[in-house]
Amino acid sequence: MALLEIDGLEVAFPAAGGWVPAVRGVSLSIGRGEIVGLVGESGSGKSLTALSVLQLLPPRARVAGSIRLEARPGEETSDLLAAPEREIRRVRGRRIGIVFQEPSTALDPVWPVGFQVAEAVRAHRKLSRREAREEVVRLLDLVALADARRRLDDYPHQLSGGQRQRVLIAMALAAGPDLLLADEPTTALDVTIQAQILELLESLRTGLGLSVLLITHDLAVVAETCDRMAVMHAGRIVEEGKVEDVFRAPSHPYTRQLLAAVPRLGGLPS
Amino acid sequence: MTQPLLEIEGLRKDFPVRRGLLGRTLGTVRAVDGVDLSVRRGECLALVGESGSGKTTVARCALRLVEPTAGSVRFDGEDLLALGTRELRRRRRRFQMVFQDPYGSLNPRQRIGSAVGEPLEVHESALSRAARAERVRELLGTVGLPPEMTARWPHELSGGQRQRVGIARALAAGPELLVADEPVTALDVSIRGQILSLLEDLRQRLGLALLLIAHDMAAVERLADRVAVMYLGRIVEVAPRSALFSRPLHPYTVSLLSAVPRPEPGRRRSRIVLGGEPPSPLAPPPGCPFHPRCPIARPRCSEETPPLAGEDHLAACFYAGEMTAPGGNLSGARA
Repeated sequence: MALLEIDGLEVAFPAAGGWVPAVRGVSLSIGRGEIVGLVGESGSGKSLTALSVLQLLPPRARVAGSIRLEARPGEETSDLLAAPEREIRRVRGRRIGIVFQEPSTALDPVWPVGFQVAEAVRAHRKLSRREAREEVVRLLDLVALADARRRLDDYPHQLSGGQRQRVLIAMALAAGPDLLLADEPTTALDVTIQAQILELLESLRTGLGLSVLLITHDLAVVAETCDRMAVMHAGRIVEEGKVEDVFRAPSHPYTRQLLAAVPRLGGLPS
Repeated sequence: MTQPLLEIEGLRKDFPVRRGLLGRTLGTVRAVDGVDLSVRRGECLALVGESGSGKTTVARCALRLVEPTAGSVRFDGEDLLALGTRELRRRRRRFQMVFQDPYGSLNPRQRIGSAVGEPLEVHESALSRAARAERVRELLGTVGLPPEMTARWPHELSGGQRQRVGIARALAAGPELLVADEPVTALDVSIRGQILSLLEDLRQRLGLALLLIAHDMAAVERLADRVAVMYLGRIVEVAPRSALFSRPLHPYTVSLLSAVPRPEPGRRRSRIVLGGEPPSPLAPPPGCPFHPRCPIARPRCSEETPPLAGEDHLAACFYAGEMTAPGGNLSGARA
């Protein structure tokens, strides 16, 4: 099986007069070492799909379908959607890490970043303070934070947006997950920094064999980073395939519209 | 050549860095460091650069929303920095600003009609109520909103509609220059195109000059006649649009254009990824501000600061034009 298999995922929220469907029968799989792009506009259901994987939806949401994560040797494959809290907590971080869009709010402003990464490390492994600190340095080096050792005692406000995003990726990798869910990880960043973070994700895939589900509204980012892509519209996946194929010959009218709307340089005769 | 509408020379802005309860001054950040720029009548000049490069500060100094530390700002030949508050206010109707965040820039308790009419009360106080209401409806029409909008509240409007209201407010005083600070950044991708079209259209119809602050290169390519690129408080390159996109001279511009993701699978290997981050303006590097990240930096670059040089296409680099993007032409690859 693939590393992660989402099958017939449905998410609905209660509203006056019934349930409003937000995700309607989404099936998607992610292989080992694969970077899959999940694209769509605001409200298309792409973030909810990712949150479902880790049972991070608000409690009032109604969820159906199944999400299976390939088991590690000696463990049993089970349905993440049906997993009890105790079990899903072993999956969060340890098997699947998550990175959010806003690097400025995802860190706690009152603690040094080294401490916050150490917290993520110690949540999963019993390490002494000193060992944890060394592990934090290793992780920050892994995400290529310049001068990692010197930055341990810095507070989040002392780091730039790109550096904060690197710290958050380091936290997501703290327990050595197989899959990273990255929800618009570069949307808040400048383009030269975005290029660095995308490069980092690719190098983690090559170096660690990490799989990545990259959620974005930016088709250009998908074109440059992903192997496969799925296009979401109004809660459904309307098209899925290899990135080259989808860009060369989009089959769904919505994908065609979306591709036509991508601002591109060189769009004007000069 | 005729006199530029807006002319900025040797503009510098220092911000004090304060710390603690007593606000002791620890030093200064030079946010803008010797910027020369001009905007001609009816021209669109785009000022691009990344966060912290000083582009917004230049715009704010140009409108005297913040006081520059040094330099001069002339509007239609008149020194804006020499004007008193009252005169400045009278002059302000000739240059207006459109802000980035259409959510934060409208008063939530003010109906749209009143928001658009307010600048008229200030600048054209002689107008009767009825005439003002008529002007408001006209202005809404100009930005593509129906007259019924006057009775609406900001929260009832979408982001795109709010930005149209923001533009209508800026137009109310009948300006000759519009300064738009990231006017589409807060909007959904599909709405951005509409607002850019509107700005393009207004420029042609009303003969407006536009100083566009942006980091979205695709938007810039669409609207600008000329483009100025800022890095760490300085202008590193200025050129007519087509020249800048087809043959950027400064290594930073080359890298910036190369970093813009393209919807072209298979291009990924040709991207230039700059190392590091822009240095802190608190401690700018000696010599060329870009040299610590520059792929073609040589010893001279860390010793001397290159001046902005050239005729029509200016670049502040000793080795301008030596760096090209892998994969050749950065723009118009499909043209």
